[in-house]
Amino acid sequence: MVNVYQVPENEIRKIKTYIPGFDEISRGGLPINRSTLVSGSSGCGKTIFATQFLVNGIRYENENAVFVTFEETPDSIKKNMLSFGWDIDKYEKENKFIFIHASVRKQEETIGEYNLSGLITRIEQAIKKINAKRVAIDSLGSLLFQYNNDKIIRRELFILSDKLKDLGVTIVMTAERIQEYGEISRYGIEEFVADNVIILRNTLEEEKRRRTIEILKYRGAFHQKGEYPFTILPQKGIIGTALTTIDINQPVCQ
Amino acid sequence: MIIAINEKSDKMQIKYIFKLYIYGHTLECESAIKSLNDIGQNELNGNYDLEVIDIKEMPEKAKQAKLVTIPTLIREHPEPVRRLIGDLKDREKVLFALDIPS
Repeated sequence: MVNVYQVPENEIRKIKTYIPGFDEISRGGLPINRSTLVSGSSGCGKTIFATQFLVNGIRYENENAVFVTFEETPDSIKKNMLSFGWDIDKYEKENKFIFIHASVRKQEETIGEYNLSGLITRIEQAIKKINAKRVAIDSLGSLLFQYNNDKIIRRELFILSDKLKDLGVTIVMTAERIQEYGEISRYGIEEFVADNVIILRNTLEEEKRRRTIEILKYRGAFHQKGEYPFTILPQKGIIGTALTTIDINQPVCQ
Repeated sequence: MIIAINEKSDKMQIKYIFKLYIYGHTLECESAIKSLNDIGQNELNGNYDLEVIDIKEMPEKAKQAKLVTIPTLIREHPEPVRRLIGDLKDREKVLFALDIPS
């Protein structure tokens, strides 16, 4: 794809997502080496967005990926993503993709203060092992729910973000919301640990499903404002549907 | 025949095997180590093994043990295997969680 936008000298550089329509409205993709929160209600497509960002990095930029999941198992994610034509199993075998499954522990008692350096170490090790450039964390809500200690989790998320940025990766973190228009995230913390915030919406208007993406804030970088419609298609993933004449001649990513 | 069973001394014969995962020697980690050694000496009469694994030195262990939080204590013996997380400062809670009579 051709970058048709003039980027000012002091603007933060961006990394392409290759998600049709998104790189246009974001004027280049996601701010590189920063963390972006993708928040949305259940079923809005945030896990798909995060996965598509990672998979496209492997396909088009030869950039490896690490996916941190809490509730959903790697097998379940792989199975779901196969319908978009993304063979993550193959990428795992080729050492281009690593899953970290920080599963919920039912029988684990908490006594006193703790930190998340166990998880952070695992993520760092995985990134170093395959020289990953793109990381997804799905979802912050699961982490906040399981550990039920806002102060500790918030502190640890800042530490995690700093360490990952030191490793030169770009991070997508997903978060849940309860309403389509209202609070950015369920716990009200998630947006504060990220540099950038994107909202995915999934509304039903007069029996028609309307999916939109909105870049709420990009710290230190330009982006188009407002909501843009998209759809989710089998064998494709997320596709923005309001492409301007500039982009109509662009090839659709396979 | 009357057989006297001293439940407390029975427990004393069992050897407790602990693995404590830490990350560097922070206050939380030092607290957990101290707490366990205190319990081991006083409640378990020295019948315990404490292996301290620092994942700052050996990061690959974090993946092996599927760690998220630090400190993490795993009681491998006696069974059932129990996992506790935190600085373990509250001695009574630790004893209760590990089924050790005080």
